Amino acid sequence: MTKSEVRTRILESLNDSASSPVFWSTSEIDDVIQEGQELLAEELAIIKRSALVPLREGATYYYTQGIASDIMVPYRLFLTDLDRRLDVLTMRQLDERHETWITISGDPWHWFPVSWDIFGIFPHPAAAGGVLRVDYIAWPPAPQDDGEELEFSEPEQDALVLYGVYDGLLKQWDIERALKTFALFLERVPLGRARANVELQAAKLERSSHHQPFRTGVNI
Amino acid sequence: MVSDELTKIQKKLHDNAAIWSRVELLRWWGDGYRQLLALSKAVVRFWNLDVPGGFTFADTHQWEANYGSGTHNRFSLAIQSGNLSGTYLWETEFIEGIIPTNSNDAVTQPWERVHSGEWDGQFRFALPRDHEQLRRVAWDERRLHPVTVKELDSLEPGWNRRKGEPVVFTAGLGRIDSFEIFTIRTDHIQGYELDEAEKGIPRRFTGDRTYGQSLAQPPPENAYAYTSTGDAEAITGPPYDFAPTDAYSNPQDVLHAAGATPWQFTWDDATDTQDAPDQGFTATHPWMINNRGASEDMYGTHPFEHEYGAATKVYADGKPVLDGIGWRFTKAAAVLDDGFATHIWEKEMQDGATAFTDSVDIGTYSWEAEFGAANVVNFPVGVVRGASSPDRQYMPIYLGATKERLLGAPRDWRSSKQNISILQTIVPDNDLTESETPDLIPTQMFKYLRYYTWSRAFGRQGEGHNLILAAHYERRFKQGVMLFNKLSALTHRDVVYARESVGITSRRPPRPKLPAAFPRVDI
Repeated sequence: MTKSEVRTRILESLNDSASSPVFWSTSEIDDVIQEGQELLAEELAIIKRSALVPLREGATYYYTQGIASDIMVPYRLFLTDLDRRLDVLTMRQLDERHETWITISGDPWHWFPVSWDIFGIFPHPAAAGGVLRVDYIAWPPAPQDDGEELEFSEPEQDALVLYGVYDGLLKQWDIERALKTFALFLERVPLGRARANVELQAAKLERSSHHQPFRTGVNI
Repeated sequence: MVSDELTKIQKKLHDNAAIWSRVELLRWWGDGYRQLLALSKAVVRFWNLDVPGGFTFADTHQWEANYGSGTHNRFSLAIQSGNLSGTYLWETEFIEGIIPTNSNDAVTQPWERVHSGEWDGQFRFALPRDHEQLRRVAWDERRLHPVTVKELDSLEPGWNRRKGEPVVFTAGLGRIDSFEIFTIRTDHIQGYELDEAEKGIPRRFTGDRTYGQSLAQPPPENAYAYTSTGDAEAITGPPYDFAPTDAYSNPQDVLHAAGATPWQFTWDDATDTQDAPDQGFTATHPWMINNRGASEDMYGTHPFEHEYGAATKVYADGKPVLDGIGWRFTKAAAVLDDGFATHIWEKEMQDGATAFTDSVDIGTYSWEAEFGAANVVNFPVGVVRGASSPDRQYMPIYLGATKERLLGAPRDWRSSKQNISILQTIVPDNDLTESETPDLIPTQMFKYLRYYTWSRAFGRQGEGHNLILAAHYERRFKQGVMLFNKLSALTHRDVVYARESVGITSRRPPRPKLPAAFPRVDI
């Protein structure tokens, strides 16, 4: 579905004109579609992107916002010139390994989180050079054009329509119907999560007990 | 921008500030921002503290801490139910009429320990105003482990005075947003000395480390020096540019040209390779030099000819004659007609003084400071944009400013070397304005702040009160808090899939339960 098709379905569900809506402006509905996209992306972790960043001499910490503006959370760091995936550690584990680990230089082997927008690599390179590939879960970009296809699959796009209707009903103060529609929207989330290949229950796979799945844990 | 968000909120409320004022919505939006940061603990920042520590204020009485924006250290202790404050321990005995015993020194700031003897107070460090929670404390890159005061009390008497390398930290006995270390270092260790900090942001660096830096243009050194206001007017271009008094074509004509600043509008070539190889050649068009034959632009002789399509040799309208920054190294006399002076005593003499001041070594360029010139200046232009070293990282830390956060200039420089380095979650304590864009959270999280604002708006008593919607939006805000918290916590976990084990769960039938009266079987 294109953005305009999603918008049309939302407006028709709200009994308004799709071509010249009365109670909602086009930009209002577009904002709601984008908000729904973001909610789905946050819950499903379905949108993945990659970005490259050059390694700098002595640099341990990197701001994720300086790597990509749409980055939600990195899930894989890879040194392209060494063909090496960096393993994940915590700062506490680094403290246990070496008392002054921050002073150690060399080719990076590990990465560790600091903040939602900062991660570090260990050891830090002594000389600039080499490219770090950052694979990350992303927030979806706002569609720029009415004819733009949304990145989500069809069932999620249907969920977007439901979210738009929910928001429209709230604006009409029809709270009861709005909350019911919101419940329908929530029902789509687990299905989308399965399709996102994050939970592979159908394939009889489960995560090892030592690792946690990537889920926001948000039950909306 | 916050104002855009408030407009969206008002649209959903169907209210144009009749029920919920814009100020009220802004306050709730700001509260939501702080709540999101505080509850999620997702924004973590580094902060380095010089040793010994320092506070903005040193207070005598407790009430003083409630005033003044900054950190407070009460150096005195309450005596006689708080009616009095004592600085030295012996004061307590004296006030009660007991013969005082000797006590240790007293200081008002921890850094004064550099100059004092033993002190009975706590060796304390202040945390910044936006501090929320400590994540990690390190001394000279080594992690310090947290302990309680009770453990330290049982460890060693007088632990707060024991000197050595810091090994642990404790919340201590001070106000909130402060901590103490054990053992203490009382020698003064400052990562960077901000020389002449009152004049603005740091512009140059000296040190024993290898580092690179990039500066904005123009560079902060003067490109030329001049002596009088006349020079300044002449070299900075219109309206004081060198207006030529006459124009001439051949260097020989300069003797006959009118005025003080005649101008040659032609090009000279040392040899004419075509017509007269042994003689010089003057051309009216640049293409004529070594390349006669092709037609080029029409060249004029005076600047005003620009208006008629002529290009000129030197002039470009509005362009200063000299590039870069100039600096006047002389001093004007009080009466301009008296001229100018190089040394201060010369100016005093011109101004009619009878007593004179010794002068300093005079330089004309900034770099002459290295050779003893004491009068040269650094211009307040050009800032450091980055610094790098193979040994360590010079990391910019932003603490919640505007959208252009990383485009600004560093205001402070701190080091983790031989210093206390902390990792902390932060929550800004300043109120947002409508023209700001909070930058500690991604813009995609703004929707959760809208939910918070709606929950507070619908939960407010009075017109528009709707408990169902308030609860609904409160739940949705909490989902945002959980999400943001997960974003900061999940990055350290790789996803690993494993095949489900088959058949490891053994089932056994339940144990038989016999009634209590079951008869004993006698064999």
